[in-house]
Amino acid sequence: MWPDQAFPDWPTSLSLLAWLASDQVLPPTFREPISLGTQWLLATYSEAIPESPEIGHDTTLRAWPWVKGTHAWVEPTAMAAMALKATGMASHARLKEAEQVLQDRELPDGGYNYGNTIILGQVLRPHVQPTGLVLLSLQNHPEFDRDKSRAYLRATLPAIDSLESYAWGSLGLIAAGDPPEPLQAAAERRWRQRSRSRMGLKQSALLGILLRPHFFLNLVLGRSHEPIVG
Amino acid sequence: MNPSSDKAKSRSPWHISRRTWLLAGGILGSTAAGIGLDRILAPNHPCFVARNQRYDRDLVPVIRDGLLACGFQPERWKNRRVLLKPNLVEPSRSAPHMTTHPAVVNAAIELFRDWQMVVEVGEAPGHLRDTEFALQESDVAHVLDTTGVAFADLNYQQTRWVENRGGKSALKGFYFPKSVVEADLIVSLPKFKTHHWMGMTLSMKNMYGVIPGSRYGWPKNVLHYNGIPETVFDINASVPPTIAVVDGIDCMEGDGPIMGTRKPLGVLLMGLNPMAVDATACRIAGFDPFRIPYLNLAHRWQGRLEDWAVTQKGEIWQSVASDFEVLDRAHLLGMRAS
Repeated sequence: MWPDQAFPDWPTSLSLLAWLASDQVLPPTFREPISLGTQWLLATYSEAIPESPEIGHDTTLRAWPWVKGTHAWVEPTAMAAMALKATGMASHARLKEAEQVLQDRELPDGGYNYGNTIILGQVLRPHVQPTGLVLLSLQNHPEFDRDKSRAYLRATLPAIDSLESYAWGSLGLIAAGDPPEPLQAAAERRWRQRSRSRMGLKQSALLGILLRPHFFLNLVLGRSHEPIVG
Repeated sequence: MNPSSDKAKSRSPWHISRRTWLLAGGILGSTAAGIGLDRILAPNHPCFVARNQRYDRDLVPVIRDGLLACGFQPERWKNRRVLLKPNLVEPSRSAPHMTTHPAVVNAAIELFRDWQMVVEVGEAPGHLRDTEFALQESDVAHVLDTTGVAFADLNYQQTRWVENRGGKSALKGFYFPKSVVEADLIVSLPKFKTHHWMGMTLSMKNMYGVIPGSRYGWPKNVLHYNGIPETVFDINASVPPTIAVVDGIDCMEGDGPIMGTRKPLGVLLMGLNPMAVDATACRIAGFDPFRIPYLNLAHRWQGRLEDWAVTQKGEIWQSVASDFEVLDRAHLLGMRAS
């Protein structure tokens, strides 16, 4: 069922953001991969599954999976939504589908996890990283009631010691117009406290984003450039 | 109407012919012989049960005694690589009974170091992309920092393609992280808990946590699509030799593996055959191991589930038996031992 050597391809969304960022600050060199990546993103769908009374979310909606041939989950959908906005496709129908899925996967008391809301009658637990990612991907969405998720992040973020979760949670709060203070000092404290043996390039990149968050937020909003793929 | 029909009519409805007796006797005899032979030929795997255990006591001697009693030969593994695999699927400080307790991880590190093995801890949390967060929420980060042991983030580590040696699912193989492929021995360190789809999750299901999310997703949905029992079987068939040490001191019952409630049991279980250990844990919790789908699938392939096939070491399982609550769902109630 799965081509054994080909999967996964979910990092395409993140690659698009990186290429777009590079092309904004350096002489543009990634137009072709950006075009190909965007076409791939638009052609990639998750699998719908039959509705079940034991599953709380709408399983018939389609968005983006981690791996082709599987169900839609919160983070690959949020990443795809960010990438599409960044490429200037904010009005594309696929983006509307993503926004619908993301709103459907919000937990009843706010916050997000990997993408299950209620299973066998039990409400599941939210986490900071996916919540931040969704608030970021749905920034400026006029119909998204972000208050509960923002309140969850606001209450939870100070106790988070992991730089990665702290970074995505902070970006989510900034996108929701409620930036944590003092952001950079808090991020740097977590960076100093990190275990050097366990934290590497990913954390370094996130620290860099936190030091200039508005560049990233503007990038995700698709500001300062024209659509690349029509 | 022929004579033979009349004769037949005159017999008692319970009459059994000589031929039937001979046939039935042959079947019974051969079945009995078969069972006897089966028992003689079946490998017998020990499971050590230690009761009255607490996280604030030294667990090293208990695990050492238990594994030695089960036949573990430390001298054979000297200078070899051991990967300790706790269950950190979705840690939360509000639910420490969901994940392997740091005291158990700490004891395992100390013990295998004492046995002069090259120790590494590794995990690929199934519901969280931020592994550092998982380590901090579970407090395993503290153990890693104090012991200085190496940690492998199995979600993001470099992977290598390994053929599926189980063949129950459609997957031709797995991308295993480097630390898994290169391990000489894996110690599955699961939490003893219920599972709202599979009944129980123990040392065999814990091996889902060697599968990298970066290739299979969060959750590892590729595995679900290929069948949970089938992929549990296949992963266990494809990893290096694996033994089990189950954290059953504070367990989870009800809506496990994430949202269940704490169930203090005070036991550690261990053995060299994960299936024998898991079958014993099921019996302790009031489940019929034959009704746990992935155990049933693995029966006779990766071990035996019958009670007689597991030699009890330490305490007998009946002495610590305590029924675990499950959700009121038919598929779960049907897994209980009746």
